Amino acid sequence: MAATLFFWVCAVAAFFFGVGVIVARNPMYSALSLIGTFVATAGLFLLLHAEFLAWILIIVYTGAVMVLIIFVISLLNLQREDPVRLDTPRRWGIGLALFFGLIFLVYLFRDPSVGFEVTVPLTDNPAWGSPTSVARDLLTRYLIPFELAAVLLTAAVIGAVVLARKAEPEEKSGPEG
Amino acid sequence: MSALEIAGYAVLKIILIVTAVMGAVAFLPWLERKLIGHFQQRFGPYRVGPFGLLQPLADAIKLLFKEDILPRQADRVLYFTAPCLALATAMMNLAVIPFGPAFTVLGRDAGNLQIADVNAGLLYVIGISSLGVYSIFLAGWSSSNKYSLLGALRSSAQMFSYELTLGLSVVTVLMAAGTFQLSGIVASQENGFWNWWVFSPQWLVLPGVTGFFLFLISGFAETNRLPFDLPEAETELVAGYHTEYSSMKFAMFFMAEYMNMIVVSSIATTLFLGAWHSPLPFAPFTSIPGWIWFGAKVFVLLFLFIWVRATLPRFRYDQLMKFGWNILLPLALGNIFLAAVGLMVGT
Repeated sequence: MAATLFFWVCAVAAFFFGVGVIVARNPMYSALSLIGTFVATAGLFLLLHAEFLAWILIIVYTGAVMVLIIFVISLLNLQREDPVRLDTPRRWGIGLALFFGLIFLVYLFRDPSVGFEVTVPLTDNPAWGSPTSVARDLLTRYLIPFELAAVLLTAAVIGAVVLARKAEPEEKSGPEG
Repeated sequence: MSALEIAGYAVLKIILIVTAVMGAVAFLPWLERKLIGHFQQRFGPYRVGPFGLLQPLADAIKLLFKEDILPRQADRVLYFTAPCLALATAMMNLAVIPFGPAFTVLGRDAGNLQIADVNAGLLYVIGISSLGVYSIFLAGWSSSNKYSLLGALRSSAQMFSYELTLGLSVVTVLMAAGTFQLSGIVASQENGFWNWWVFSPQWLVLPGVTGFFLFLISGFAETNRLPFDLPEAETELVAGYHTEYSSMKFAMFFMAEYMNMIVVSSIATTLFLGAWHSPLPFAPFTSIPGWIWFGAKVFVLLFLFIWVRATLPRFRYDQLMKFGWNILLPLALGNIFLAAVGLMVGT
């Protein structure tokens, strides 16, 4: 019963924050709505027993990526945008058609053995989503993709450092202060 | 145990822990002012009550009666939310700290003196610390004041730079204990202080000690305490991100900073100093309740925080960032390598 309540709170929050990302006029509010979406989604991951993924979502996404995005927004001095125009019937029609179409697709491809339970373990293994089992899989079964992702990230870091370097000054102006 | 019983014990623990920590937060400023006074060869507050003990009460009353200012161009929602978020993230960390061993209430077992024994407790702590950056940033941005914004940018950049070292420095404990669960980490440190993870692995004490000091230094930076308090130094950017805050909103930032100090000390105690275990595993030391040991260790670390504040000058901002990225981060990575080698050779 507590799980159902938690699910509905997280799901409704994720929905409204997600809409807020698009609808907010102030870009800072948009970024903060995205943070709210991430926190609500982390709650949903916890319900699915994917605890490692939930905390990593908060640490990496909300804690690092969004901080950098908010830095960029605050330094750009953006003006308030015009609100998203939702007043034409055509836009409403397309939006609602897409929304109900997606729900219908999910219904078509659902797993018939799952009812409306809000927390369904995806396997029988109780330690499935824990950091231990994720680490074991990453370092045994998925070792090569893991290493390739590490190489990709290193290349990205090197590229960022090269792009952000200042040009060398023409003459040295003395010992560095 | 029925669900109602579990919920009841949780509420009891919340009341006990939050009351104790709020009391500590109320008296930590007194302790700090007294200690800094004595470090500087003068008395701290001594007029208000015996030994100045009522000084925090006087400060609280003063702050309550101050005028509550809202700058005209401030973003109202974020201006109100920022101090609440600061205090909330500071208090959310308290939920997973194991303050004491299992205790009984009216003859029935109530579990550890720990509100929530989350499976990935260590990741929870790191995650909540990374959420704490937003409160400072939103405070500076919503004040619509260039000094606040600069202070907030500096402070947030400092905080998430040192979060890397914070996270990496606990990896030695993680490798040694083998679990993210804080109660498991505590349980693996029993039977004497030589088993505490500050000395891990036993034959090569260096990785644990290095990890402990890296954690403490990053903790100084995370809580914006000297020598890393440039963002809120009075001689610099007025008062940094809380320039435009007055009265109780300022008091909330103030409380959040002291509560963060207590939380960082508690986490360091849990991970490195054996939490509520007594240093010597025989009577009469084991008959002293676990939470008293925990409190004593946290007190020692808080004394260290205040001692460092009274002693060291503050870093300049570029020195601060260089220190965090060029010195501490490679040191933390090297420490992980050394700890891994040490643990492997030791078995």
